[in-house]
Amino acid sequence: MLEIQKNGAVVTISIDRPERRNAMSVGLSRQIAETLDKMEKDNSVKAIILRGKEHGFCAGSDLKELSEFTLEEIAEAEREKAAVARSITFMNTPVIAAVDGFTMGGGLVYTISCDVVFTSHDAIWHLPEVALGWNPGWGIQALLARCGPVVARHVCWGVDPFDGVEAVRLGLADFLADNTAAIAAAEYADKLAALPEHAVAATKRLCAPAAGENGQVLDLMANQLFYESCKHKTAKASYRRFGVNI
Amino acid sequence: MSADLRQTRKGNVVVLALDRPERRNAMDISVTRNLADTFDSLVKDETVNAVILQGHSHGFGAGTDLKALGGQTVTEMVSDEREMAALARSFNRYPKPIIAAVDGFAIGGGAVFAASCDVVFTSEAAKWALPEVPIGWNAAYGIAALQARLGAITARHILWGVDMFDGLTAHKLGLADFISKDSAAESALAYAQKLAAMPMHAVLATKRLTVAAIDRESTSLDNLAIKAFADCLAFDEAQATLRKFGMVG
Repeated sequence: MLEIQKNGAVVTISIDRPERRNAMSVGLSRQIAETLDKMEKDNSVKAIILRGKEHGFCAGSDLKELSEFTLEEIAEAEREKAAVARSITFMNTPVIAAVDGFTMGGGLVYTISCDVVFTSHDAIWHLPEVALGWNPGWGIQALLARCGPVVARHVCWGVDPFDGVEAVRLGLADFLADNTAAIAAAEYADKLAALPEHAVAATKRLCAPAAGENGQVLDLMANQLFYESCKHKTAKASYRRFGVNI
Repeated sequence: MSADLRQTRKGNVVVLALDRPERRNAMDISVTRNLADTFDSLVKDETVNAVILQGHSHGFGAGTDLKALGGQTVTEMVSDEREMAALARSFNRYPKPIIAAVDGFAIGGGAVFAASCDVVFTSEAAKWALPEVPIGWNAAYGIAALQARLGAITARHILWGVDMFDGLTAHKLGLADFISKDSAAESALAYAQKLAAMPMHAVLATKRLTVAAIDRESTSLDNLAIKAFADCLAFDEAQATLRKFGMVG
């Protein structure tokens, strides 16, 4: 599910589930968590790139996987993904996201939870949760830190998808790639990895309190609202379309 | 519903349009109360999923109607501003989405009311201005809403109101979320109808998730702003403005 490549001091983690449009299953989320943890402890790794191998970054939660799950288990799985995304801010090693193709739902939230975000011009960004019948279940703090509360609100409503150019304008992404985001992110990561590592880490720690601020509390609140929303008939109908009966 | 506030239904969307053409859609206490009552009644109407606030013609709004204050004392004026503040502040916690459509102009309290809405559409050519400081006092409310949209630094210089700016700049600064080449009202309606077609419980849960971050100290900031506003009224420039509009200084 994950392809891991090391090039000098930079490790690229590529989500590789083409048959599921790189959707985030619980297993994938755990693999990402374990890999991030391993890289954080590996002194030879000075920057990490997170991307999708093909098609797009990530299509969000793997709803098909949930067919065996109860609602309680779905909410628990979301809490687990939330904790992984939230932890990125508090790592010492910088994590850079590269968005080509698309990033949606939980995938988008994973993207913006990274320290630096690259996007291609034509990448499609969208949070489709509300249209499906529930609110985004985590990552509100990451949105607040990147684009402020007013923009976060309408981005979460997700009335229309938008492209990479708008993602940069809103602050969801930091850099617009001339060609592919993967190439631009790799060039940036090489430069970042060449900087004095202790100073990069100290700088990251200095910014973590503001970036991570109320992350845990907001994730808890979002998870509770998500759980309640999923009991609604429109949410149940959406789940049924994906073969999930809750 | 009085003549100065038009209410139109478009499916699950209600359009509230200020209609005081002779006063450039400026707000007096009566239309403020009217708006507050209308918003209250729309909460209870389960067929309403989104509300659009706009001006019927000319522009979105020109802020406080200073002419209507003729003969009022400063105390009465401050009391009216306090009611407007409470209404604008309530939008963030209002349990349905509120969308502003700014065509023509949004001046003073009009700009603050627009910025207090959840989502703001502006036409490219719309004129935005906060002329309070130039006429002798500070904006009496909405500081928290402006800070949530603009950040503390930009909010400060926007509140100084040195220059008027157009919709393009409002969009660039974050005062407006979406820009329309022609009619903001049409774009806002298309957006509101899509939003109103979504599962409403999820729309509202999402709104709740960002209430606290937008609302940071809005009540205490409004109280400070109104106190500062009242204090400003004693100064010469403010007195001159008050006399111009026939108020008892």
